Amino acid sequence: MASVTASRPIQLSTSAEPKAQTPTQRVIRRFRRHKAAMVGLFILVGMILYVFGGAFVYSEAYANFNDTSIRLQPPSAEHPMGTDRIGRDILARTIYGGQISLLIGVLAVLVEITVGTAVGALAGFYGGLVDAVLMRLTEAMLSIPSLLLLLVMAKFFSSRIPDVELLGRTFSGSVIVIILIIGLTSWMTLARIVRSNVLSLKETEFVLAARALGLPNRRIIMAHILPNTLASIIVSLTLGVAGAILSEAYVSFLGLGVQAPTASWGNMLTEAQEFQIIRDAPWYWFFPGLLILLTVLSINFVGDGLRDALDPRSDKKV
Amino acid sequence: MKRLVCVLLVLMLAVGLAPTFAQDASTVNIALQQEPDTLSPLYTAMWFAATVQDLIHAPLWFIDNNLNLVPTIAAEIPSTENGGISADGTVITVKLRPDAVWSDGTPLTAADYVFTYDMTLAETNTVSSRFPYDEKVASVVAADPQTLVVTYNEPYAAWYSNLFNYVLPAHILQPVFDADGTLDNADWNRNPDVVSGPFVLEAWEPGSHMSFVPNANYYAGQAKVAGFYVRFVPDDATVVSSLIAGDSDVGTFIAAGDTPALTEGGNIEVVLVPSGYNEGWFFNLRDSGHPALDDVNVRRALVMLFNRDQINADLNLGLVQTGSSFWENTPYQRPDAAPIPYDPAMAAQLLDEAGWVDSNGDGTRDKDGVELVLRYVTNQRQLRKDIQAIVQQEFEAAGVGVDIQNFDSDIFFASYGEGGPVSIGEYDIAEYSATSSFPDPDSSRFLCTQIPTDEKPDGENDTGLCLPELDALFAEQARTVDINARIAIFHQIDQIMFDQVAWTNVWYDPDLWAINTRITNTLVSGADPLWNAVNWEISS
Amino acid sequence: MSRYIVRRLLQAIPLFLIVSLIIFVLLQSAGDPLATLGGRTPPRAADRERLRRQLGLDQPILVQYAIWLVGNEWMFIDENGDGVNDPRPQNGPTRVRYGVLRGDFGDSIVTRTPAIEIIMDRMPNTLLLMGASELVILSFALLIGIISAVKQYSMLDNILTGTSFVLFSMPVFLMAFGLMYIFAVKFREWGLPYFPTISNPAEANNLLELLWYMTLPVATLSLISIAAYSRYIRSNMLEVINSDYIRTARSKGLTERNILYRHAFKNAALPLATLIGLDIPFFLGGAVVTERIFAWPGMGRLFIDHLSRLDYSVLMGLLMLITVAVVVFQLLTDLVYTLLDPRIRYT
Repeated sequence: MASVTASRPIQLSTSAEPKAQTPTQRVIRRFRRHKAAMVGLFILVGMILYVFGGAFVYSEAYANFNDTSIRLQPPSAEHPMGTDRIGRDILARTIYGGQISLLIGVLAVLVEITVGTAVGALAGFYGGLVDAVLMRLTEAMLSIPSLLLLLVMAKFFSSRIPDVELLGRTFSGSVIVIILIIGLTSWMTLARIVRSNVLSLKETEFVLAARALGLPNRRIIMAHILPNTLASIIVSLTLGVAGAILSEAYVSFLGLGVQAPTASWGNMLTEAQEFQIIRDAPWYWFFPGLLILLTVLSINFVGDGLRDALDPRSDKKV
Repeated sequence: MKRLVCVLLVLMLAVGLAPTFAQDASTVNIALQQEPDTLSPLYTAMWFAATVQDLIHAPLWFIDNNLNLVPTIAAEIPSTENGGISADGTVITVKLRPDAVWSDGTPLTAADYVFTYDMTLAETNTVSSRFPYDEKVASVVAADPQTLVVTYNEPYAAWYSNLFNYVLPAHILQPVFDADGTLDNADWNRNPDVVSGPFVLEAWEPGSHMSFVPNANYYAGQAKVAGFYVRFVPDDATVVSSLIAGDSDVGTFIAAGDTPALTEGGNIEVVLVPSGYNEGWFFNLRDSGHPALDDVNVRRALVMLFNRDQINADLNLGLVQTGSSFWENTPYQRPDAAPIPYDPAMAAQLLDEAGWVDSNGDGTRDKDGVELVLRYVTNQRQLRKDIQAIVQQEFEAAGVGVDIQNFDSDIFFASYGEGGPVSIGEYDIAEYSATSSFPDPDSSRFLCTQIPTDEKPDGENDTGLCLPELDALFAEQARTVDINARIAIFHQIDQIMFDQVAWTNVWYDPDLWAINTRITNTLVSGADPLWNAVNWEISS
Repeated sequence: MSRYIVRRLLQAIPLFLIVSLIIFVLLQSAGDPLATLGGRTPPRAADRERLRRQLGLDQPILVQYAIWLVGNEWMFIDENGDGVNDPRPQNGPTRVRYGVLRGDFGDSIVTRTPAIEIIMDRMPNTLLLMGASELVILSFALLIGIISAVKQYSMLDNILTGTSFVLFSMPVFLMAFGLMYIFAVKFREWGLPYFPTISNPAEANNLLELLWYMTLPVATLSLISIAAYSRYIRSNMLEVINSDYIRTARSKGLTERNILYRHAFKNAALPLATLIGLDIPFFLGGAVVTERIFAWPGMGRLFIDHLSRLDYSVLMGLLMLITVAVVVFQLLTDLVYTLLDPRIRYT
């Protein structure tokens, strides 16, 4: 079974590049060659322009303006994406809802990455008591399905956090709750991936060498081990942003998500989950659904491209 | 590639062999959004449980779709004429059908009712409600096997609405109680094998379904359908899908918006069933509420700013109408009742007159340094969130700020001790659907003595309305057994309630049932929905 | 090795205590379990106050936790709900709680029946749904992951990657309603073989019908999750394929198939084994959204139904069972890991 006694490649062995390039240039070159990633990046930039630039075209007051006499109208010149259940303009709402969804995705993953990487790297590198304590914590968090933990926490925090002012907008406090609970319920898998990579890597020659040279632990972790686990972190990150945006939608669907009057793509989609609307007002769920799909998809593509680009061994030319 | 072909072949084979899912055509398929918590009537407060229990637990009398009493285990409805109601109105004597038997053939007698009474009050039983036996009833006695005598502390007009709408089989449960000291863990609660109703439980698959088959020993007619098949389908859109696909025959709590999709095929009928509920606004008149709400003219002005007709026409698709009474569409509603009209101009004038004007130019009215910003709270129901957004816009245009809050139902309705926002008064306007003790008009929601406080944490008057004359009228109607005299008192009560605007009717809120037209003779009642299930028929 | 196992199991004890205490406190403070008792309006307040005392919900949270953990024989019980503690009756007390440490998960506030029975009733349905989905997901993910690694950047890779990404990016309820609307409502209208709207395994009379009932929920769960695994497999395969020893194997003249399956796949499977090992215990948690939409009587629905009534006995029982399963599977995963990768040492 374990007949392949693989020794991990030492980084030096891949340095036989035809032209002298800095590692950063190599990464950029490889990334640009990844078509899907470039398409993803393009969409993603477009999406960011859409939700933040759109705010200059439509005011938030307009996005919240309702008129029940024009409810559930199909797309028209006046309302390019139609109107929702109380006659609000869906286009304007996808702009402000998108800000919330993107904010949730990015900030939640930031929380996830910070906690997950720190815990995984420390536990894997130091081992012993640190490992035991951190992994008990990870296990404790891991031993509860994240959606269930998310629901329990959402229920606990629901309507306990007052509204907050941020970026000139007033958010329902539920936005902060959602960001924190998504972040704090999703870092564990990443921590374990990082830890298991660190466990493998710290037995490799270059780390042993660094250690033999007497480099301090912090520098070994930062300079040698973390860069080598980047591929794993990035795969996890991309799926994480996707997961965070989708988690928000699920929690909304189950009635515990971002609270009115703040819109998010997730709660817009949830509002549309009535049989009649699903069937007769497809624009209502199509546009928020499409935006979620495109955003998540493009982030995934970008992450995929980054993974290939960052991995020194994925260069086919060598 | 070979494997792919194999997979495709298997898939095609599966499609060819696809089961047809022909539902058993002789049973009625019901889709319920929630699973009953128990089949013991002692232990539930759930509407879904009570509804299913109509199939297996017979009351003394059912309340039909016209709110008439239909004798079931009782041989006749007690009245002053037949001696069932004593001259002073405190003693109700019920004659039971001599042929009434449990589904195992054992005679059903007055002793079973005495046992039921004892079990309801037994200290070791965690029953969901002891009402009315703890508060209103002095004694329950079996004069003879067919005669049940219930003595009330004082004349109690609402006796018919909550007297023994279920009965427990003493011969089954007495031994359980003797052995365990409680009925809490009785097997019968989940598997009631001996029952008094027209159907018996065949199977209960938790989370999935219950099936019922006719009770061969039922004394009041034989069921015409082969059974009821009740499935638990939590998602509303799935319920509607299953009705349209024909997987279900009957569904409840249909959203108004889904009715066109259901009725367009012509084989599903949507029925509006009066259940006593009215969607309403509760203003907080207590100290915890906004000071502006102390002024009845401000409350009236706020209602005038609320375009209820527009909401009912556009969001409820005209299926329901704006009401003006807590007893809408009942004899207890005052005659010639009309809702407060939508009149923003008049509202502005009333607010100005009350001194609430925008003195600091921030767009919101204020008085004595207090801004007119109101906390408008409700639960998570989508329709209510929609209304909140509409009201917020309308109010803000009139210079009234609105702070929207939504709570889960278990927080929203939490008790005073648990800090429920409505109970402790952390709101200015609360919206939810409420009823009297339907079909009886009695209610303790607006009594001075029922205002929740630390001393009275179980108070039920969330608005804090406190008028001694109203309390006196409520107390008087509760003692008035004569129906016409009682109606007259209620007309006075309703007029006071309307003038006070502590509560206002947003819409008269009947239950929406969707029923496949293959099921006939379904006379759904708001009080006992499946009361005539024994007469339901299936047309071929 | 056995000392390692014993140590890990001992370490799990504080874990249980921490997890259970946190969740218990969260649940107990999240709302009022007696707010509506599932009814349309709150029950009479007097009944709520009585039930609160009778069911012990008026006790301080930590006392309730202690009862949940070790039972209530050590304390007085308010049998009659009059607010005064009674001495425990001699003739066999009612509602003696033995505590979760002695296998008594308490009674559900909703049904008044033992929580563990309620959970066990749903367990088979959930394992069926999740197991079937996992099988489908793994089969497709392996297929797609390997193909797109071996044929990196080919048209096939692009199509498979693109499709699985699109599916992965879709909110599960859109997928579920879409499948239901097309295959259960529309197919029936069009006279095609259709699937039921309500996927109820208890209604199946034979295996074929069971499979038929499972198709839509399994398809929903599978379609959206394949990408998560296939991307992972692809990453690992790529890493392995591009490594020196595969190059060595190739230079030795081994056949491509041999290289792929004997060497590359085995090494790429290592992290996958971890992932699966970590995922299996979560089958117990079910799939909340999918189960809800298809009315599948599983644990996810149980959880969300009972969360809405804050039925802490059932919720705690369910979460603790999952915790136990997780601890066991993590230990197994670690052990398998040491077997598969001799470079990792546990002492």
